[in-house]
Amino acid sequence: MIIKDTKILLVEDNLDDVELTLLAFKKYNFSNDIIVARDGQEALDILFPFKEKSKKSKLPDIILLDLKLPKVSGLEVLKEVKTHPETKIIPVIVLTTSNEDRDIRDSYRLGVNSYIRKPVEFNKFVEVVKQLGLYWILLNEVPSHKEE
Amino acid sequence: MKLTKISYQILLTFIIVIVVSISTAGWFLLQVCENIVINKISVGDRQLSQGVGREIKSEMENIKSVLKFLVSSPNWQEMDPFMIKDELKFVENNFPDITELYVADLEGNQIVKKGAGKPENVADIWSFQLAKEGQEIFSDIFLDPQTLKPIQIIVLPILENKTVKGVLSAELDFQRIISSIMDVEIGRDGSIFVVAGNGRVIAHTYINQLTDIDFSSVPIVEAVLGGQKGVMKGYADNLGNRVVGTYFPVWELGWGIIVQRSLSEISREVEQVRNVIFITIITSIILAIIAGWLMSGTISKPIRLLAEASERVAGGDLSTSVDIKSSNEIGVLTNSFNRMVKELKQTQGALRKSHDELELRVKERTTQLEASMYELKAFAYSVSHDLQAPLRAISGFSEILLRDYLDTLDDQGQHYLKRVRAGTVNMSQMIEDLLTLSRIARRPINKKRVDLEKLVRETYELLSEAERKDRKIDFTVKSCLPVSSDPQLLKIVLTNLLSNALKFTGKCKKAEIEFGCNTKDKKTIFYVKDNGIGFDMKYADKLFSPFQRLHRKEEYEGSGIGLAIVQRIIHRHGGKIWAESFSGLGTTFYFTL
Repeated sequence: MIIKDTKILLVEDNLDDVELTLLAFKKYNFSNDIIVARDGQEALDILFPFKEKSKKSKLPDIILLDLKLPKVSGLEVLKEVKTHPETKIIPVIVLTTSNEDRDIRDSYRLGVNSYIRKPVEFNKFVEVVKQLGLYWILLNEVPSHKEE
Repeated sequence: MKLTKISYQILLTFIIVIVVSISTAGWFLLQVCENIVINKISVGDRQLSQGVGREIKSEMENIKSVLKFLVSSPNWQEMDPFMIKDELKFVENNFPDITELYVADLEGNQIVKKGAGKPENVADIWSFQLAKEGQEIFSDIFLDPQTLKPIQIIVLPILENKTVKGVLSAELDFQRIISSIMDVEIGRDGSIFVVAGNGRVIAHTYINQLTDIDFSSVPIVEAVLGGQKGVMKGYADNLGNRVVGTYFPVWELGWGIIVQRSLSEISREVEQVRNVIFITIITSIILAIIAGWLMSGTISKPIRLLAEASERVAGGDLSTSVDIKSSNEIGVLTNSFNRMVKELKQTQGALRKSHDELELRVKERTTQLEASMYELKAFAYSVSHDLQAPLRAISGFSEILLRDYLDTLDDQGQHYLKRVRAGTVNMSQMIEDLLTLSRIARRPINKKRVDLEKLVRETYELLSEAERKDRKIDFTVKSCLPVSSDPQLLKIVLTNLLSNALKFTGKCKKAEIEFGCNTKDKKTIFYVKDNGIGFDMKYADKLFSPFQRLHRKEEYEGSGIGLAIVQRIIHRHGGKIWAESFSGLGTTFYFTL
């Protein structure tokens, strides 16, 4: 696999899921630069730090977002990301267990770029992560954060 | 709304009844009065006509008897002119009406003559010839063509022992009698006249110049000449006036006396009575209007009050009550009306109370239901999110163990690990199905026109793709009319039913699956029929319960929730689903939409 210099922010509270996701990513060598946020607040802190300087360098290229999170929910994080102009351009992929209509609808209403359901079965999950990586990391071009 | 109709009706009826009865009574009274007046007048007139008639009669009879006496006297039998002349002097002096008179011998020579002209021979005259034969002749009264006076001629034979010796002829002038009749006091509108036997009027109060007209066909003349006496009312006289006539015959002479009076004269007499009656009628009409007005007001007022009150009640004002104190039917009506309104008010109050209570209870229930619905949703949501994560961990890590650490486990260990993985697959399927079930319960129905036949075929193709290569399946679809339903939900129904059919015919040598429809009581019943293993009908009621299985899992896989989903979809469409089966012979699922 070609390793691209893609920064990924994984927002996920469940350690098991974090580990399994990382395992799956590792299996296909999509990226080495994965930051994990364990709740919504942490994700927001990473995306909107107090020091203006460090901001640009730390912004991820892709956000993988779980919906059910402690403190600040995934939808709220999504709303913040899509409201602010500097984060608005970052593709957000909801990666969650639920396929409730309400969640899908709300996510797209807030401007999610993709909604992917985590299958329970590990083999299927690995397959999903593979597809996701192939598309969003390798095929899809993301905008750079450097000023034009 | 003005309620004056009843009072007007009463008033009108009252006035009509009063006017009709008083008018009828008045008319009869008037008739009676008129009759009384007519009778009174006719009594007087009868006496008058009788008097006139008798007077004429006696006068005539006197003349006749004198003449008869003369012709039978012995002096005359000698036919001595001097003797005769001498005796005739007596007649001339006492009976001035005899204007002409002669005595002729058998040759017709006038031996004595009184009146104008010289004696002549009358042998050619017809009356002389008859008298010569011994007949007595009394002519009718007629007008003398020369003098135009009413006269009668009497010719008598002069007899001696039935032998005719000569003839006496006398001419009677009626002018004096007629004048005396015309002088009778009879009143302004009355008249008296005399008709002779030939129908000629010989005397009339107002007619001096009598004409030679025959009146014998006039009813009253006919009656009097027929010898009757009486009163004839309301006929028209010769001038066209309506008159009352009283008539009396003079039988001996063949004459009739008629007294006629105009009805207008009679009405003048009755006028006073009529005026009294008119005044009575007008007075009673005025009184009737006043009395009727008062009475209709008395009768209609309570009715009007009741009607207005019931209008108010109909308009929803239940505080209405009517205050009428009366012991008649109106009073009874008022009482029952008031009672009815009171009861209505009570009933309405009770109804409103129970309605309010019911409303409150419904509200409570709804709140409870909403709360539990909310809990259910929250539960489903949390199941969807949280329950699957640990499962994924179990599945994932056991998989990694199997893949990456296989060599550190012996066969038994590997077996257990595989069982753990199979368990997670199973559970994840069950959670999936449960979530589907709860989602269908919450999802709104979105009905469209669906070509069922096409949908069945597509679903079947998709489901049986893998299996068709391995075994022979005979699939038939009977054509059905398109239905109105939610296509996505209907597809879930068909997927479940068809996959069941495929599953339970898995062990058949030749599987037969059929989809079709038939109509019963104007409802279309769809069916999916297979010749699979079937089930025992005593478990039919358990078929649609979630997690209810009728076969062991090792034989036929599945979560046991498919038919529960199917039933829920059908119920949400307002339809029914049921199954018929014979163990070993196959199953048919029927459903309506």
